[in-house]
Amino acid sequence: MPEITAERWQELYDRVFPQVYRALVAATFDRERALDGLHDAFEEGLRHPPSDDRNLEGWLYRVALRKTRRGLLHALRETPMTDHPSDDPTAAILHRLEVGQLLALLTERQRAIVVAHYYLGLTQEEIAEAFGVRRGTVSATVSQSLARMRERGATHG
Amino acid sequence: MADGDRDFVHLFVRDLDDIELPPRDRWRPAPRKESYLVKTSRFVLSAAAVAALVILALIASAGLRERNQVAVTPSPTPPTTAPATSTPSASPSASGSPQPTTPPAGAISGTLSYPANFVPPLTVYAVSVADQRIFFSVQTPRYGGDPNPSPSSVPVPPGGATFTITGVAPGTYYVFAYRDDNLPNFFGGPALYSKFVLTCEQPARAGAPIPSGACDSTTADHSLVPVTVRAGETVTRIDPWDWTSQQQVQQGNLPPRPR
Repeated sequence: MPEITAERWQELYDRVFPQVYRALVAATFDRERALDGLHDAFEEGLRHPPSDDRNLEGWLYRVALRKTRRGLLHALRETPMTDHPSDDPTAAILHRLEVGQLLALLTERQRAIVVAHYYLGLTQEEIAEAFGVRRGTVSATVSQSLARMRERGATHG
Repeated sequence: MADGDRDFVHLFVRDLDDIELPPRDRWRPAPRKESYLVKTSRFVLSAAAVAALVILALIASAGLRERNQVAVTPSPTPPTTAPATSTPSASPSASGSPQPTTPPAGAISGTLSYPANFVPPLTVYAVSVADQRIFFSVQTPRYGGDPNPSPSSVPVPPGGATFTITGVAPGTYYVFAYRDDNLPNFFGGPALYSKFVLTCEQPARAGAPIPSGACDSTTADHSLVPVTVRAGETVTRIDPWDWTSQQQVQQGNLPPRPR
């Protein structure tokens, strides 16, 4: 597998930026945090590029999430987004979207995993590897999140 | 993937793709400009790191030197007036005494001689036989003779010009003396405590018989004599009188002058 050079890294970054950015916005409900995280991940990739370009979206998504100020560890302690209304207009935009309303029911950690699975298209194995958790944890998180969203969807359906 | 899952995928893609992207020029981080404070801090940190390395190197160097017990004179400044009774000797501090953790030191003493009506200023060295990097020394003033060209010349004491090297770590040493003045050295080398001293010069001064032929200029043995120093003891009569060391110098049989 050829090594990812700086030029190659920038090319790959630009290619996956839109999807990873939108995923990060959906996971964090904060456009600036998403962008800051991506910038940091970009620089991280320049210093220590991933070993290959497989699952590049997953790598960038994970590193950017980690780089956001609160990150996943903080997200573990977070309550659903609806309990902490954001001043970011992104939240308002998301709330106008059906998926945004559903994601708002989840914790940030749940959102990060659900978005990675349903939007970035990462498998549960890839998410487990990217986030450093067991596959069973990913599976359970996805199931709980779906149950919660379906319940809400049924309520409002 | 279950139908419900497909629905979610469709929903996510449909909705999240509507999220507006930032302007293209914001996709990558802007080049970071270092503030003056950051630049200054970086310079100060670099300088501090270099200084710390230099200090560590100096400490390590000093530690190694002390462990090897390499004595670096200078000894006390030669007296400008004649000493009352005693002759110059190396104080422990002046002769580079070993560390307190080393065994009790010994000493080496003897008298000085020079084939003239004076004794030039000398540095008497005791250099370890085992490791020539280890040495102890003492400086002596000019004794007797015409005050010119050295007004600081002191009278020769009644017992003769003597020296004592104190603080000598137990071990075996070669003893020799170098002139400290810059005048031409007629003899071309240091004065040795050699077999010639033991066989010829000391017996001659004591009025003892001299073995036949042993002191002939062509056959005399000028090789250095090892001197063993024991803890707490002073080895006496170690007289570096043999100024005819040129042969030993030429043959490379002498340790280099310690610096």
